[in-house]
Amino acid sequence: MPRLETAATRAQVVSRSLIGLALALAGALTWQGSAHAQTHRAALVVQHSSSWPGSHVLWKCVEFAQEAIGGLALLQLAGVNSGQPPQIYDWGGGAYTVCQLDRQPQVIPDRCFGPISGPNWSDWTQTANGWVARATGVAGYTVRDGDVEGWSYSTGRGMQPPSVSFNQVCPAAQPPTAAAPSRRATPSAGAGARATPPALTTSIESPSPAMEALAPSVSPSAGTALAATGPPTSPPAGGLLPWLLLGGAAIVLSGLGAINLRRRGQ
Amino acid sequence: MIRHPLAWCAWATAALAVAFIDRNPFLQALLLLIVINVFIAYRGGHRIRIWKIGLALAVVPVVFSVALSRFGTHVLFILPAIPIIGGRWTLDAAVFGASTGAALLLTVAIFAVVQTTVRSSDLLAVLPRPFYRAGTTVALALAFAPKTVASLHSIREARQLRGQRAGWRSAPQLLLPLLLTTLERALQYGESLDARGFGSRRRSRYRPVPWTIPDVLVVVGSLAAVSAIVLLPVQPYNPYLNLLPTAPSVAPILGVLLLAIPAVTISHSRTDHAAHHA
Repeated sequence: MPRLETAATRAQVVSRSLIGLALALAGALTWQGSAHAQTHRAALVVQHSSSWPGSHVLWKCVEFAQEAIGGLALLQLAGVNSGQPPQIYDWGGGAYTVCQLDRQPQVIPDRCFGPISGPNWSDWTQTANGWVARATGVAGYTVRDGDVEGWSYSTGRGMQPPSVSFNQVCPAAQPPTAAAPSRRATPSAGAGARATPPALTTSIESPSPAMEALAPSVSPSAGTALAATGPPTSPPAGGLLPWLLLGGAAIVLSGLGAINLRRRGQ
Repeated sequence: MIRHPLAWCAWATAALAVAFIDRNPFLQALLLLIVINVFIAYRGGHRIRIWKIGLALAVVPVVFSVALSRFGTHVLFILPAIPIIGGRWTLDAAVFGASTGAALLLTVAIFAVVQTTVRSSDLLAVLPRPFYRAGTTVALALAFAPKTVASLHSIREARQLRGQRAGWRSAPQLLLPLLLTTLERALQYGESLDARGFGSRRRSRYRPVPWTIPDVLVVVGSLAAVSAIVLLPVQPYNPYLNLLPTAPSVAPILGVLLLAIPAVTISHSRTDHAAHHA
């Protein structure tokens, strides 16, 4: 009898532990799913050139469902090109250059840069030490929750976008019902991203309705535009001094070399 | 006159760091000018061969880059669709190759200076005790290749003087005397090592190299140059993005200029140098 009992209890223990394991797995999966379902936010700053007639700076808080999205997907989700996808140039091999954001430049030069390397869009990411230029193309990085990504239109090495914090662009999370009218469209962008992740990469030619719906929220608040119309941040100090130094050093070194060569020749 | 091998090691490390880290063409040109100056000051223009090797190495990346890279916006000409080399040949690719080639040329030039200024025996003398025996072995092994080449030249010269033909067909006849000479030298090395008590615990020192003020100056200047290059933000140069390089900022220029100290100090110590050669 006792042996039978122990056998019965053992079967019970096994079945209970199996059920418990299954429950735990299911719980873990649902928790994982809920964690995936929460929206992530990234801040996007677009700085036009100083000659741009409109407002110089755009702030966009972009919501997305995925853990991380590519740099191009961020621009598409933000709809910064007046709801149109950003104009890009395909170099082949998965390398892209962004040619036009928010209608600047109005006429896109041949192969993005034209015959000479004119002004172009440069890509920046904000770190603890300020803006750092992206070394890879727009396809070479991903943006995560809380990241601040900047684009500025300038000549040469590129000018840093104006300094901005994540909380300025993306204020603390509000319940969807209490969202400000200007941000009404952003949850739908999140929903669109959540519903059709493959569309992110294929919708370059045909913007989805969610992106067009975003257009009203593109315009920044008046305060932003006012704050941004000041003089643009000055490029790294150059001037005449480095050239004078280089030229002087070259002359002195050439003289020194000639003297040493003649002395050794004697 | 910089004599201390550690001073030269510090200088070479700093110069290599500049050559590898900073790709600004203006800084590269300045560094090349400085290295040539140091080379002239310490060697007087002999040993041109190593510069030929450096120049050849510098041309290779240009050729590869311009022939294989299709990127860039400044098109030189467009080849028909030939496999591998067909398509757009761009100035950007050539400039990118030249930038890489300049870094290679600088590397060869810096090693040329080190090779002409540092004697392996001086370097051995400053090695810490545990490395002394291994260092001696490595130095002997490294010295073996140039010595063998030199004896090959002398054997060929001797054959030419006797009126025998020099060419590829005479290679087997060169091989035997070369082998004998090399074996003979190996035996000599062994005997001389034995005579100096190699393998015993004691370490012999012959004329230790003292630290002089120029030596210390070079070490300090090299450290300052390295820290200027490493700590300050690097100004990247990418001809594909912008063909025209930006002007380097003042601090890196000053840092690179510190590497010219060996060339400057030798001008102030002519008498010492003359005495050394006498």
